[in-house]
Amino acid sequence: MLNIIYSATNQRELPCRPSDAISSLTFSPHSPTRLLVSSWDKYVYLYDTHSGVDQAGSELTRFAHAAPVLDCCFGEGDGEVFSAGLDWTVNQLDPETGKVKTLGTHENSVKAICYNSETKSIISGSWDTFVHLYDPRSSTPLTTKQQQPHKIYSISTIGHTLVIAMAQRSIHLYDLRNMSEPWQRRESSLKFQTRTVECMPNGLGYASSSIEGRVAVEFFDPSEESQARKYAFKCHRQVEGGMDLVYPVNSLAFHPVYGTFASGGGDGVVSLWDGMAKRRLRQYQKFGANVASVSFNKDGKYLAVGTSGGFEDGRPDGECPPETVKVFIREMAEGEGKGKGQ
Amino acid sequence: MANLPTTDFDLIEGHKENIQPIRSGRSARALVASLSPLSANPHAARSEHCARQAEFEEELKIAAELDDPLEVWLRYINWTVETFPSGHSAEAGLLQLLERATKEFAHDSQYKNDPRYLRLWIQYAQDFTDSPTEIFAYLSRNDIGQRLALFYEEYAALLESLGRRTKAGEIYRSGLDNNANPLKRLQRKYGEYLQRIEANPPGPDEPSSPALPAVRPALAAKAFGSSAASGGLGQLDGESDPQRQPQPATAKPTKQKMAIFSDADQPPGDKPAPVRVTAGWDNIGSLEHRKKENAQEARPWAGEILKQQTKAPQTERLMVFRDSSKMHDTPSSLSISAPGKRPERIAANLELVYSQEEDEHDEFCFEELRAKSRGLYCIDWKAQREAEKAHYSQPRQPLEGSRAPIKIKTVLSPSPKKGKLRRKGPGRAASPTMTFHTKAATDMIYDIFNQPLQKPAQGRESGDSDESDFADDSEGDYTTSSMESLRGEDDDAESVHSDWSDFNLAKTMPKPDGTQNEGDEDEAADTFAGPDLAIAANKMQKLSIFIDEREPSKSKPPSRRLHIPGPPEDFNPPTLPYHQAKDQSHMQSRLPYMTPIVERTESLPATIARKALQAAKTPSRGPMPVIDDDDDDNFLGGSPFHSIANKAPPPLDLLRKKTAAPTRTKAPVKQGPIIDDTVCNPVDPGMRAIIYEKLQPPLTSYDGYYEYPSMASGRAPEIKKFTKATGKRDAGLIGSIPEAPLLEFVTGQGGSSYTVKRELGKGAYAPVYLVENNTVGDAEDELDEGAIDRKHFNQIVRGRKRLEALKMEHPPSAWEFYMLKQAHMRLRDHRAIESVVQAYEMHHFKDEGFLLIEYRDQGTILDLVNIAKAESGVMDELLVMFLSIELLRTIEALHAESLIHGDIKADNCLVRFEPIPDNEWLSKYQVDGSGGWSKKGITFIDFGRGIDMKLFRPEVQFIADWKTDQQDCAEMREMRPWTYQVDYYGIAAIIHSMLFGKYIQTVAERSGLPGGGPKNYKLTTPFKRYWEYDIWLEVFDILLNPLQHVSQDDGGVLPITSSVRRCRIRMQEHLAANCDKGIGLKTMIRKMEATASRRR
Repeated sequence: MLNIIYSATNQRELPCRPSDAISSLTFSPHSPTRLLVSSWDKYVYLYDTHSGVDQAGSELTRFAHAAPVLDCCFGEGDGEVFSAGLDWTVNQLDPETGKVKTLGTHENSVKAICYNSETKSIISGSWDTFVHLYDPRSSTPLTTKQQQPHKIYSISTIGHTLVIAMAQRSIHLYDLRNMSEPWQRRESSLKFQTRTVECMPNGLGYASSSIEGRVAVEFFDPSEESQARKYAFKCHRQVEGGMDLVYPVNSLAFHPVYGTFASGGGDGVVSLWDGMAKRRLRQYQKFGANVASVSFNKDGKYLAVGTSGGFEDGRPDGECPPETVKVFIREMAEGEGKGKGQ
Repeated sequence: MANLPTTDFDLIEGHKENIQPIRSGRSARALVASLSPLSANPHAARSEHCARQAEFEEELKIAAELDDPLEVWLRYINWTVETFPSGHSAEAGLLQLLERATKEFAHDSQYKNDPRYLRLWIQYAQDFTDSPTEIFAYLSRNDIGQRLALFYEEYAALLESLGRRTKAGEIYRSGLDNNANPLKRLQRKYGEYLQRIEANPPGPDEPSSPALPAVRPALAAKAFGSSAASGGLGQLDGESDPQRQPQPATAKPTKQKMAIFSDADQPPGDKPAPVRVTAGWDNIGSLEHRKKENAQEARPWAGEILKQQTKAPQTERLMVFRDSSKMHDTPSSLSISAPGKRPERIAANLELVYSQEEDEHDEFCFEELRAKSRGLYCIDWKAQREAEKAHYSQPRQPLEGSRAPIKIKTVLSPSPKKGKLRRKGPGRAASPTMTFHTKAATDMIYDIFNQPLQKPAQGRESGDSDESDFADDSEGDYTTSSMESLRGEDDDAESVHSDWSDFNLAKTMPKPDGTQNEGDEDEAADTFAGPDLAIAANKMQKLSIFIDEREPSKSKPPSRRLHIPGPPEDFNPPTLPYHQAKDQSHMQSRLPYMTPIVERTESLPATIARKALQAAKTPSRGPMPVIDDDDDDNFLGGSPFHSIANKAPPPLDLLRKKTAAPTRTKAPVKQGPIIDDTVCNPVDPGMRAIIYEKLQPPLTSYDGYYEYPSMASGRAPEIKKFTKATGKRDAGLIGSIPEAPLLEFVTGQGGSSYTVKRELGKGAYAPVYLVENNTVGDAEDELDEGAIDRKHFNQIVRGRKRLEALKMEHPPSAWEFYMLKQAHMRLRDHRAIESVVQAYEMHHFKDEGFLLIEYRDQGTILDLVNIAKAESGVMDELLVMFLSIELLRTIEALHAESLIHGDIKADNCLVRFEPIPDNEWLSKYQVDGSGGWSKKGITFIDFGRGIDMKLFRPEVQFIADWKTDQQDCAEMREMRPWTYQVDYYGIAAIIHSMLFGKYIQTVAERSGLPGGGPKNYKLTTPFKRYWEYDIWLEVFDILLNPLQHVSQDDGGVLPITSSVRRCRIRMQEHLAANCDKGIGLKTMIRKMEATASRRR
C-alpha cells in the first residue's frame, strides 16, 4: 500500500471565523457543506464551506445570543438549527430570518445539545443536572425533564439510545422510549473527567474521551461478551523534556461511512482511529492551537476542525487569543477515513 | 377452676419472645396480668410497680422481727418474677434482689437446710451466675443445704450437664452419706444416674478434678490467718487432691506479663478479720463484686496523665489569603510516573478541574472554568431576564426627548441582515444595578454599541494597525447610531462629529464598527429603543451630575454630558486634562473605551483641583483661612459633614501654614452628597477625583496633608532596593547594604524626616515600611541627654512616635488619608477611635505617595490565629469573643458615622494590646473599658477601599469591579449591589477564622418561596457543641444576612447598627460573667501579648 502523504494542500482555513473561542462545530447531516459553529463570542454562525469567493467558504448567517453559546446542532433539515448556552436557554434558530426562539430554560448553563432523528426531539443537558427533551414543533416544546445525579458534560444520541456523560465520571444510557429510568448506569472506564461522548453511527456503542488523553470505546449491549470488547487507549500526548505531556481529548467525530473516528485534542492534533481494528489510521499535522471541535460532513468527504486557545491546552486563564480561533476544512482523500479491514 | 376467667392466650402469644422461661413454669393468669398493662399504659404500670416495690422494701425492714423473715423475701421475689416476665432488667432488679436475699440468710442456721432458701440459691446460680459450680462449692463450704437432697440433685445434674459425670456420681454419694432429706428421692435419682452411666460409660479423658474442691491449707492459712481450714467437705479429704501439685523449686523472675488483678486499695498487712472457724469462704459476694477486675476504678483526675501521641501533629499555618486565580502563571498539573514508563504530566490544570477550594469536592469542566474566569458562571440568567422584562415596561424616555430624526451616515458592515439587528437576547440588558466594571457588564455595553455587529472588533485586528487608532478612522466616516440616538439635543449628526473630534474623547469612545441601517431611521430608532439604551441613557443623565454646574468652563462643551454613552466612571471625567486621555489610547485592548483607568487618575486630584480652581475662577481664600464662628464648616468638618463639624471645633492644627498647599478655596457650600449616582464602583478613580475636587474643605487643608503636584519623588526604587537588601541580610545572605533611605519632607514645622528601617508588609496595593521618625528620635536623644526638658520634648513630638509605619503608594492616592482623617474626626469622642489606625502625614507627590501612620508591633489577628493554631489548634472561645466585641464595636461606630471600611479581613486588623501594669488591669472584664480593658483591642488598618457614605446619596449601592472569592461578601460574589454588607461579611470572616482557624465558607439556603426569596447564608462548618452556640449563631446570622435583619433594626435600613449592638451587648454580658473561666481572659490576653511580641 502506498503511503499517501496527506499534505496541507488538502486542508484550508475558512475565511470567516468567530471572534472568540469555538465551543462546538457540526456539519449538517442534510447537505454536505453547511457548517454550524457556536462560539464564546455569543454567536452561532452558519457557514457554507464551499461558497463565496473562490469557493473558499462564506458566512450565511449568524445568530446573536445573550451569552456564550456552548453547543449547537441541526435538526430535521437545514432549516432547523438549535443552540444552547451559558444563559441557561435552549434555542431554535431560524436560518432564514436569523430569529432566535427560546424553546426552554434550564436552571443553569446548558452544556450540550443534540438532535435525535428517531424521535425528532431536541435533547439538552445542563449543569443543573437535568436532561430536557423538546419537541420543537409543539407549542409547549418541553416534553420531558429527567434529573441526573451530576452536572452533565456531554450527550450523544443514536437510534433510540441516549448517552449522557456527567461529572464524577458517571455515564447513563437511556432508551428514549422510556425516559423514566436509565437503561444502564455506568462509570466511565477512564480515570479522569469525561470530556465528550459520541455514539457510533451503527448504533452499537459509543466512544468517550477524558481530559487526560484517553479514549474509551464501549458497547451498548450489556451482555458480558459485549462488555468484554470494550477498551480504552492513550492518545494526544507529546514528549516534552523526557516527560509525556498529556492533553485533553476535546472532541470525537465518527466517520459516517466507515465508522472510524477522529479525535481532536488539546495538543492541537487531530487523529483518525479505526475503532474496530484498534489502530490509529492517521495523525494530521499539528494545528496552531487546541482543537476544540471536529466534525465530519454527511458523506465523510470533509472534516471540519475548529481550533481556539483556552483551558484545554493548559492556559491558566480562560482567555482565548482571537488569532487562535480558526476553522479548518480538510478534504478527505478517497479512502482516507477507511479502516484497516475495510 | 371453673369460676376463674379464661386466660386470653392471644395476649401472651404476642409477647412470647419477651417471656423468660422458668423451670417451674409460669402462671398464664399472672402473665396476662403483667402483660396487659404493657400495652395499656406503660407509664402507669411503671409507677404501680414502683409503689409495689416500695411496699415490699418497707416490709423487709421489719422482716427481721417476723418468725419467718424469708417468707417476705420469697413473696417479693415471686412477685418480681411474675411482674417482669422478660426476666432480669434494671427495672425488675431480680439479680440484686436474689443477691440480697441469699446474703441475708447465709449464716442463719434457721434456714441452712430450708429448701425454700436453697431454691433461691439455685435460682441465683442457674439464672445469673457465670460459674454455678462455684456457687455450689460455696454452699457446701458454708454448710447450706447440706442436708437437703435438692442440693445434691441440682449439683449433680449441673455437673452431668457439664460432662463431669464421675464428679456427679461423687456428689450423689456424698449426699447419700450425709443422709440428705428426702433420702428416698436422692437414692432414686442416684439409681437413675447409675443407669445412665452404665448405658454410656464415661471416657478416660474426662476431667477428674474434685467436684467440691478441698480447702488447701496453705491458701487457707494465707487468706484466713491461722484459722484452721476445715471445710464442710471433709468427706473428700481422703482422696488425693489432684490440684495439689508440687511447687516449682524456684520461681524465675519473669517479665511482667498480664498482671493479675488484685485489690490495690487493700493496704498491706490489713488482713481480714478472723472469721468463724467453720467458714473459710465466708462471702461469695455479689456478681458485680466478683467481676470487679473488669471495671475500671474511678479515680480523681488530678495528676493523671492521659497518654497521647508523643509528637503533636504539625498544624498547617493559616496563610494570608491570596487569590490563587491570579497566580496561575504556570498551570499546575499532575505528574504521574509509573515505573518503567515515561513520566506523564497532565496539561490540563487539574487543580482547577477538581477544585478543592470553593465547593469542596466539586469538579468543573473547561467550559465552566472559562465561564468562571470570565465572570459568567454564577449569573442568575433567569433573574436577569426578569429584570429585563421589567425594563421593557418602562417608558423610553431618553428617546422621546429626541426632536429631530437622526441622520445616519455610513454603513460599515458588508451585508447587514435585518434579523441580526434584533435585540432579543435575554440577559443583554442587565438590571440597573449592574456594574460597568464587570466583564459581563463590559461586554453588555460593548454590545450596545456594536449591536448590529457584523464583524466583531477582534475579527479585524489582523494586519490593520490603524484600527486601534480611532482618530484615523473617525474622519466622519462612522459614528455609532447609539450615540446619535442618545444625543437628543443635536439636530444635526454632523455636529456631533466635530464635537467628538474636538475634544478628543473619541479616543476613549467605543470603536464604532456598529452597523447603521442606511436611511432607515425608524428602524434605527426601533432597534435601539431596547431597554439597554434606556438604561444607558438613564445612567447618562444621572452621571451628568458629575459635571459641576457652578463651573461650566471646566466641562466643555456643556452638551457633552448627554453625549457620553459609555459609563463616565470609566473614562476620564470631564475634569481630566485631555492629554491624559490621549495617553490612554495606546492601552486600547479588546474594549478600549471600557478599560478601567486604574492608576493615572489617582495621581490627578491635586492637579485637577488646581486647574478647576483656576478655570472656574472661584474666589480663592488665600493661604491663610480666616476662622470665625460661622465658618467652621469650611474646615475639616465642613459640608457635607455639618453634624460633626458643629460638635467639634476645628483643631488648631488647621491654622498652621502648609507650605505645600498652594491655594485654598472657599467654594459655596454644597449641601448633600457629592456623588449623585445610585450605583457605582466605590473605588473608581474617576469618581474619587471628583470627590477630591469637591471636598469642602479641600484635602489640602487637612492637617498633615502635603501636596507636591509637580514634583516627582522617585524614591520608590531606592527604598525597594534597600528593603530587599536588608531582607537578604536577615535571611543570612551576605550582601552590601545600601544606606538606609532618608525621606525628608518640607512641612510647616521645618520639615520632617524619616529613616526607612525595613519592610513590614507588601500589602495588596502598596508596600508598608517601618520608619524611624527622626524628629522624635532626636528629641528623645536630647531628652535623655538633658538638652531639653519634658515640656519642650512634648512640644516637639506632639504625640508622634519614634517608630512609625510608612505606606508608600505608587501611584499615589490620598484616599486612605482622607478616610482615616474622617474616621478620627467623626469618632472623636468614641471609644472606637482607638481601633482605627491614626494617620499622621500624607506626602502626595506626582508619582508617589507617602502615608505615615501609627505603628503597632504586635501583628495582626491573622498572626494571633496562627499563634493559637501552633499552640493549641484554635483560639480560646473567650478570647475570640473579646476580640469579636472589639470588632463589632468598631464597625458599629464607623457605620454609625457613615463610614465603610470595605476591606475588613484578619490581616487588616492589627492587635492592640497596649502595655499596662498588672495592678492597673482588672482581671474582671469591664464592659465599659475601665480597669485597663480599653487598652486592649484591635486596630483597623488599610482603609484604601473605604467608603464615606456621606459623599453619596442615601440609597446608593455599590458594585465591585475586582475579582471576588469566598472572602468577599455574598453580594459581591453574586454581582449584586452592596453597601455595609461588605464590612459585616468581613467581620464574620475574621470571627470565623478566629473560631475555627480557617477561612470562612458559607452556603446559601434559598427559602422555600416560589419566587426564590432572599437567600439565607450559613456557615458550612458546624460550631463545637460546647461553644456558646446561641451567641455565635446570632452573630453569624446577623453578619451574613444583614438585609434580613433590616426590618428588625431600629433604623429600618442598613447599617443595622442596633442589631449588631444588641448582639455585642449579649456577648459582653456573657464575657463579663465568664471572664474567669479556664485560665481567665486576662491571662489569655497576657499570654497572647507575650507571644505576639516575641514573634516580632
